[in-house]
Amino acid sequence: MKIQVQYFGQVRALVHKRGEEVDVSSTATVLQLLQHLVHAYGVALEAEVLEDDGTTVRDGLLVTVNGRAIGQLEGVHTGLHSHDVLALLPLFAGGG
Amino acid sequence: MIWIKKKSFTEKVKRSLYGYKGKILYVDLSSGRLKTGSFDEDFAKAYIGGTGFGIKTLIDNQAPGIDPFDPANPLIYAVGAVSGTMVPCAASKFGVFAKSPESHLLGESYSTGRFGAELKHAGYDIVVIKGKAPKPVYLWIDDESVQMMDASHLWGKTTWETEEIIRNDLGDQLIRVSAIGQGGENLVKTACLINDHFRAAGRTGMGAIAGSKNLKAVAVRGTQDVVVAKPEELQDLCRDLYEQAKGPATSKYRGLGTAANVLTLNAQAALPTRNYQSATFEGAETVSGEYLNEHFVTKIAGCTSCPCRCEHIAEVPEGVFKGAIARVEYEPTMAFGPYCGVDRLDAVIKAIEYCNLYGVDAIGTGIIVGFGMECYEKGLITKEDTGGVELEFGNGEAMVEMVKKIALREDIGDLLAEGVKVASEKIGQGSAHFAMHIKGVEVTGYELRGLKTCALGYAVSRRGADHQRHGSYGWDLGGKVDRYSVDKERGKLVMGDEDTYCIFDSIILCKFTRRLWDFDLIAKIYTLVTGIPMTGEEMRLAGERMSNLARLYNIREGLTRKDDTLPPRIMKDPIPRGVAKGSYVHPEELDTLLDGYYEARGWTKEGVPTKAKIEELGLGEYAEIAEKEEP
Amino acid sequence: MVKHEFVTVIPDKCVGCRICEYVCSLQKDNVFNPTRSRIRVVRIYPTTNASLTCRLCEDAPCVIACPRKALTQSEETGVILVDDDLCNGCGWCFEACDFGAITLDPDKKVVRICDLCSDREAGPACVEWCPEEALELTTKDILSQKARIDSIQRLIKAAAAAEAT
Repeated sequence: MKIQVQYFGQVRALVHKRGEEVDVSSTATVLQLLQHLVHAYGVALEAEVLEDDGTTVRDGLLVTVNGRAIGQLEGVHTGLHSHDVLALLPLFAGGG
Repeated sequence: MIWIKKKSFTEKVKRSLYGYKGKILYVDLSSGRLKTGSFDEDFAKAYIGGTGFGIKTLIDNQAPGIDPFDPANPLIYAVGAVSGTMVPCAASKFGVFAKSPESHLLGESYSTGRFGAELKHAGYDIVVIKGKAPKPVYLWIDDESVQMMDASHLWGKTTWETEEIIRNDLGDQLIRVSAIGQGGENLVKTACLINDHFRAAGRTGMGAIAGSKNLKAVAVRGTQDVVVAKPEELQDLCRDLYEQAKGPATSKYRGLGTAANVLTLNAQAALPTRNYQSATFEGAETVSGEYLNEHFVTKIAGCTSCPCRCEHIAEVPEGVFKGAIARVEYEPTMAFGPYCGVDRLDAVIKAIEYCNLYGVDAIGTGIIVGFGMECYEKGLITKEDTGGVELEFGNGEAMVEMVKKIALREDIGDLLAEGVKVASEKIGQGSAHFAMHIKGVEVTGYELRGLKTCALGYAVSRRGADHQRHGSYGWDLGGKVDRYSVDKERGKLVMGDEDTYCIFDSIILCKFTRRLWDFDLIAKIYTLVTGIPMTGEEMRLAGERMSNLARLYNIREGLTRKDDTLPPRIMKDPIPRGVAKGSYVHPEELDTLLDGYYEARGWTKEGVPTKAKIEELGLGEYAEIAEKEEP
Repeated sequence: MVKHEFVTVIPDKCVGCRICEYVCSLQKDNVFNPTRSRIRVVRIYPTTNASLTCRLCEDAPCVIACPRKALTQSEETGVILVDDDLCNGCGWCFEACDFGAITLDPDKKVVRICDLCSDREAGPACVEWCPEEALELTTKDILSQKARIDSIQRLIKAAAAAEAT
C-alpha cells in the first residue's frame, strides 16, 4: 500500500526531499516503514531515526501518523493504512 | 650592574570557597557608594547560584510592594555556580533579576555569551544595583576596582555602539558589556540588556529597570583565577561530557538549530500565527529553519566553554534589508514570522537586528507588533495612529518599522511600548480578548490551545508567560501524554520540570545540553567544582526550594490564584484548522490543571505554600508571607 | 631543514568558544583564567573567530628584543625558553611579538610563552580539547604543502565545472 512520508529538519537535509510516496505491505507498522526507509537511505538516516537497538525511535525525533504522535497510538507498532501520512519531525527546546 | 631582587607580593588568601568567589557587590547609584558583602557555604548550598541567588537576593533586598521603577528596586546580576570554568556550556551564563515593570512580580532573565564568565573572573558572584544615578552612567568593574563612569555620550546610542565606545574609551577590546539601547532608555516594557552583540537578557523588561536607573551599561573585565576543588577529576568528567555534547544529544542545535521548530510546530498545529488567530501558517516553509540555513546562515559560533556551538548567525545578502545580521533562534523567528503573518526571513532577520540594536526583547516585541496588526485589521487603530505605517499582517516592512517605533516610542509605538496588557486596556473595544499575555508578560512560541500540559506550565510560570521555566511542551508534543485533554497528574510533570530547570538555571547549564544531565550528575559536577558535598536529592530539593521562594515572593507582591491563568483567546476560541482543529483550554480544564499542580506542590487550593512545605524547605523566615494569606 | 612544530588555527572552523584558553590555564597553572593562557582567542564581530599562540618564528624577534637575554630559542624544538631569574617582566618582548603570543605570569611576574605542553604526554592540551578540531600542531612546511594541494584541487574542480557547461 502507499504511504505518504514527510521529512523535516536533519532528516530532510539527509534525504534531500520534502516527502515521497513509499510502498509497503498492507500490514506494515510504523517500525517496519522506518526500517524500510533506513534500508533505502543507509546508516546516516539510521542514526537520525532509530536508537542503537534498531527498534526504538531516536530520542528527540517525533513520528506522527496523520498528525498524531505515535506515543498516543500504539508507538512503533502502530498499524498503517493506505494513504496514511507519516511525518518525521525534530523535537527541540525553544528560544535560546 | 644594579641588580634588584624580585619580591613576591602575592597575598596568601585563605580560600573559603572553591568555584564561587563568595562575593557580592552592592552599588548605590544615587549616592555613588559601593560596598562588598559575602556569603558562606550554607547559603551557596541552599541556593546554588543564578536563579537561586537572584530570587533570594531580590526578596531580601527589595521592600515589598514598591513600584518597579522606584529607585529602590534592585537590579541584580547573578552568575552560576560553575561560571568561569570548563564545565560544558556553562561558563558564561548569568541571570538578571528585579521586580518586573511588566508583571509587577518576579522579573528574571538569562543570557550567555562571554559576560558571565568575565564577571566571575572579576571576582563577583552577585551584583546588586540600587538607586538612580543623577545622570546617565555605566558601571565599570575592573577586577577589584569598581567605578561609575559618565555615560552621557552613550545615551541615545545602540547597544552595539555602546560596547564599541566603552571598549575604545577604556582602551581594552576584551571588556564585556551588558547594555541597554534606546528601548531601555525609553522605559519600553519589553526592553532588554544586550551583551556580546547577539545575546540578550531579554524577558520581563529588565532593560527598562536599568533605564529607570539611568544605568546605560555594566562593563566588566576580570583577570582573576577561578579555582575549583578537584581540577583533575573535573577535567576527566568534562572530557566525557564534551564528547557527549558534540554527539547526537545536541546534534539538532548544532545542525539546523532551533528554528527547525517552525515546521514541526506547524505540522502539529502548534505554531502561534497572526496573533494567535490560528495555529498553522501557510507561509511556514519560507520562514523555516531549513530555509534559514540554506539561504541566510553564514556562521555558527559558540559561547564560552561550549563544545556544541549553536549560535546561528544569519545575514541578509540582498534586497531592501541587505546587510542585516542577527543570531536567529526559533522564538524570534516565530514572533516576527508566523506571529505577524510574515513569510520572508529577510524581514525577520532585520526585525531581530533592530531588537538587538535598540535593546528590546525580540519575542515580546514581536507579540506586541502582532497585537498591533490585529488591532489595525479590526480598525481599532488607524494609519494615522501608526504614523503612516500599513500595519497589516504579512507586511514585513511595516513590521520592521513598528519595532523601531516601539523602541523609540513614536506614534502608536508609544502606547504599544507599554506591552499588550496595558495597550489593550487603553485601546479597549474588545482588544483585551486578543492581548496575548499572562501576568502582563507576552506569550511565547507554543500554541497552548492544543498543548495542555504546556498550558499549565505557562499559566503558573513565575515570571509570566514562558516556556523556559518548564519546557513541558515536551510531554505534549512528544506524545507522552494526550495533549488535548487534562488530568490532575499533569501537575506533577510540570512541577518536576520546573524544579529541574531551577537547578539548570542556577548552575547555570545550557538547556540545549539537558539530555546529558540528571540530578546526580549535576550534584557530582557541583561538588567537583565547589568542594561542597551534594547529593542528587539535595539538588532536586534546592530546585523545589527556589520554586517555592519565587512563589512566596510573588504572593508578597500581590499574586493570587486568579493570576495563574491563560489569555481569553486560549480559553474561548478553538484552533480553526490543522490537526489540532477545535482544541482550546476550557476554564474547567484550567481548574483541574491548577488543582493538580498546587496539590503536587504542597500548596493550598489558592496556590499558597503551606506551613509544612515552607518548613520542609527551610524557608521559615518567609512563613509570614503565607500566613497573611490564610483565611 | 629544521621543522619546528607549532600550534595554529583554522579560522573557518574556530567558533570562539575559548575552551583552548581554559584548558591551557588549567594545564599550566591548575586554575581557570584566560589571562594566564598562552593561547588567546580573537573574536571580531560579526563572524570571525581565531585563536593565536606562539608560532615559533625561525628568527624570533622576542629573543632579539629581550634586554636581559632572558629568552632563548631551543634549536631542537624552536620553543622559546624563559629564564625566570633573568626575566623582570619589562614587556619588551610583548611589543616585539607580532602575534601577541606572550603573556605574564601574575604570580611570578615573568613572561610565559607556549611550550607545546612539553610536560604533557599527549602533547598540546588545546589541540586535544578543541571541540571543532580547529587547532593543529603542524609545521610551516606542511601548511604550505596543504595550500598547494588545495589550490590545485580547486583549479581542477573549476576546470571540470567549466568543461561541463
